[in-house]
Amino acid sequence: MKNLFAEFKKGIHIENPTFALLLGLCPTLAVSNNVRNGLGMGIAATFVLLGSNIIVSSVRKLIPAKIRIPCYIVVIATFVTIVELLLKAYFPALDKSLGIFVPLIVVNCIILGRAEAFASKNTVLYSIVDALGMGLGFMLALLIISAIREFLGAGTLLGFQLIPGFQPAIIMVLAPGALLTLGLLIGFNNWLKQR
Amino acid sequence: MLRFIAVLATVCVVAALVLGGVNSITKPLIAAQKEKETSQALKSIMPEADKYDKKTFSGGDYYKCYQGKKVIGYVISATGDGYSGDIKMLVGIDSKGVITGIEVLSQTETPGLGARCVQVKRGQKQPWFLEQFQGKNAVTLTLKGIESITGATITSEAILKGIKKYVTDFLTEVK
Repeated sequence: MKNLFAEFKKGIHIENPTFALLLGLCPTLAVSNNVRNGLGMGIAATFVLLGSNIIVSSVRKLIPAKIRIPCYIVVIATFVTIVELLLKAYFPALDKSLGIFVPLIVVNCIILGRAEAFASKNTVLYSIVDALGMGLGFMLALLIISAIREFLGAGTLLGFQLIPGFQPAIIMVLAPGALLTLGLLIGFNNWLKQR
Repeated sequence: MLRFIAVLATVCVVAALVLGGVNSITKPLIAAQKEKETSQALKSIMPEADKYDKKTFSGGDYYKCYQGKKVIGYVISATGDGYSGDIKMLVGIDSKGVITGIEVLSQTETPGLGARCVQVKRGQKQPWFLEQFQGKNAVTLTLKGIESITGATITSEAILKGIKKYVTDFLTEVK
């Protein structure tokens, strides 16, 4: 039991996909311009990560090592497409707000990274726990970055104005703001670790 | 070697079958959702009309709007060349070419800047930027008298140019 909890916890801080493993930075930079987007991407990625980890860990003994990567990619791409189609058909409102992020998950290397580094070597139960921990870690990272960027860049949080008359710095919701915020947060995380 | 090919082929065939299955289930549902979205947009642009007749011209689709048997206006689908992709809109005009309403169907503008073209202010029903176009003649449209979106000149102009171009093309070709 203790072991399971350790697998879950590692994704949140010590092996946080964004701040420690530096995986999936491309979608992180692109979608963290407001909290709503960050949260949406976090939920969608966690969902796909969970699905792909379950499938990869349950077929891990059937797949020869030499062709594992193409097999994982097919599994992940299939799963993402299914999620996208289901969202479009049954949850059009959610699809509108997540829109471009769902197809973006295919290129999120956290998913392939966890399939390769964890799910292909561990049982289904552990893979589920790993997916939940990593997904939550990714979501937390996105929330922190997007909250800072949305507040400084647009003066709002989740679309609500916090301080009336606050003059936002538009640069923070644009690409340079993403790089600045991410860089400072990674530095802060490393400083925390070294203390 | 042969085993690799067999495994990879099996994985792909299973994936294709699953995707085919999901697609055949969701396709009619997705089409119905799209239809619903368009008809809602048409209703908000031309609330007085009771029948929308879909037709096409060289620039794309348009809807002839009837109230009883009288044609009261047209809704034209227009595309603006935005800052980061197409801005797809529906523009309603009456028989004189005066804009009755605009609805943005899809856009990928920068959040916080260009994406504010669909921002709705508290207590209002329609996006403040698009509302300003109402009652203006689509053919002689200029940014004069229209408060553009701060920091998003390209988006503001793209919407204006898109409306102007598609409505002008429509009027010269169809009417």
